[in-house]
Amino acid sequence: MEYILQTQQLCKKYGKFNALTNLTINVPKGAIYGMVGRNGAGKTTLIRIITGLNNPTSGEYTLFGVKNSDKKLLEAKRKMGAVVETPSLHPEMSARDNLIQQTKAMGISNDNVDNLLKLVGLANTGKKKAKDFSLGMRQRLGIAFSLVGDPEFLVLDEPINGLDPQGIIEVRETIIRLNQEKGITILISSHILDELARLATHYGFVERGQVIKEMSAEELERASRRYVHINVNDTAALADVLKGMGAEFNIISANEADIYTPVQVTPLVLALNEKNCFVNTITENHESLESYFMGLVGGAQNV
Amino acid sequence: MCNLLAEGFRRLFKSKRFYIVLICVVGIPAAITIFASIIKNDAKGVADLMLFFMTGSMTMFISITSGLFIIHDFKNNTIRNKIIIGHSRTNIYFANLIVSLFVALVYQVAYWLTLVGFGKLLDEFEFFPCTEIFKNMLLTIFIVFAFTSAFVFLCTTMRNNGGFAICLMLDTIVTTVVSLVLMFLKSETAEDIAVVAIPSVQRNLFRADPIIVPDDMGLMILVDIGICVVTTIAGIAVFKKADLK
Repeated sequence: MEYILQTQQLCKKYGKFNALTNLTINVPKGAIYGMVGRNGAGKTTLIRIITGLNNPTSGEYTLFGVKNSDKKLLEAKRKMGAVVETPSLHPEMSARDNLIQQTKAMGISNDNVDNLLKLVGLANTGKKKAKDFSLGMRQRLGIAFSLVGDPEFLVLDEPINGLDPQGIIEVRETIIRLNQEKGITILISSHILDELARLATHYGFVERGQVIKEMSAEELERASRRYVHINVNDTAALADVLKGMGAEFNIISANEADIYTPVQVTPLVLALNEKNCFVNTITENHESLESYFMGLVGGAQNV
Repeated sequence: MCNLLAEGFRRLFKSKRFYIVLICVVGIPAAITIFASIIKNDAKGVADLMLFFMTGSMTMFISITSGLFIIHDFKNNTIRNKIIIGHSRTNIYFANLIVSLFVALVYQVAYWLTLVGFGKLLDEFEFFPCTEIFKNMLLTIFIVFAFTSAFVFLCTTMRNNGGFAICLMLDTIVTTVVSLVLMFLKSETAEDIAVVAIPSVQRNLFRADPIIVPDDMGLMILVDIGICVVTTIAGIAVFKKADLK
């Protein structure tokens, strides 16, 4: 498999605090790689290192096959775009002027600027200054900034932080379009795991400065437990029946329960019927990314 | 490097600050010569005196534009955009230095051109033009460049408003500290060294008398170039190791 980014035993210390400890990740070409981790896990530190904003204390990384100690890394970084935390914009300039500024820094023509503005939905902002933009508009302009120069690798740190539902959908659709239509490899970190689950093709679970597990979306799908969510009028009767069937289950409320053991629906419904327990709804579900992550890191509260 | 300069100069010319400060720099000599010609009709030489009288204030004007030019790049995190796309920190530092030196040169030349224009028009010159004044102008350019290099160093290493505030008052701070040290030391050798090695003291030699050329002018220029080189090397070294937000 071809990798765009690989880190080996990457470490970063801020004073005595170890932000990264022997962190190793592999971002395959063409993937949307979701970095999952709680606050302070080291996601942004990793992003700062690979974008060149911070220097690693030890360890190394390769970007497009070029090691970070190689002078050719600066050339390789021209194929990368990034939004790190808050978008970096010139507040006194319009959206168009901001992007032209970036084309100047890259030494490329500004012919594509209007297309980029259209792509992120900022084509009609005119002379409005970036300082007057809403958070969502700034976030989208930040993404447009990172797309100047047609990058092959895009790094997005918390790109949907603070966005309203409409903004989240727009950013999500933009990210998917960039990946699917332009083949851009995307490394994305987010706290909003439900949102990440809709995007990512690969995952890296980061905890205390280390990647504790890497897996593809298919592997996560297989690893996540399937369960049946059932809504009944009497969960006490349901519990009796399930105990009798030797099933593993969890009563959620007076009417709802999750059943983890595969059960045949008809015998279950008939058995419940005998106890005057009526089934309202039954749905088959997968364990969410959030539940999987919580299980992986030991049920942390602050995700 | 060319790309960084194109980006930097575009940002400079797009900022209102550059033009507002330029108007101040041009307005002061114009106003003073006009005022002098109104109140002292037969007195000459006011424009000569003004040629180097404002060098200290000029460093303050330069620091407003070039200092904030750099500080805002850090405060808005727009410096990231250049690092992410593969520009080396050395080149970024050099680009900022070149833009800042350009600002210094433009402001100083604009000041002198306005003064010469109004001074000649209102007949306020007694000595200009003469070789001594041109020599002092050359030395002034190097003094201003030494200050500007220090501004770029301070703003890049501190990366906050504190750095800008120090730049704004650098001439005053240096003058005060040197005066106190010399007063404490009471040494002629120390005084001689300060005259050659400290730009703020260098300019005091001809500040009030523009036709006096300092004896060690060549050495002073070398010292000013040395300050530019040392601050640049130190600034790049610190910037390369810095972790940015």
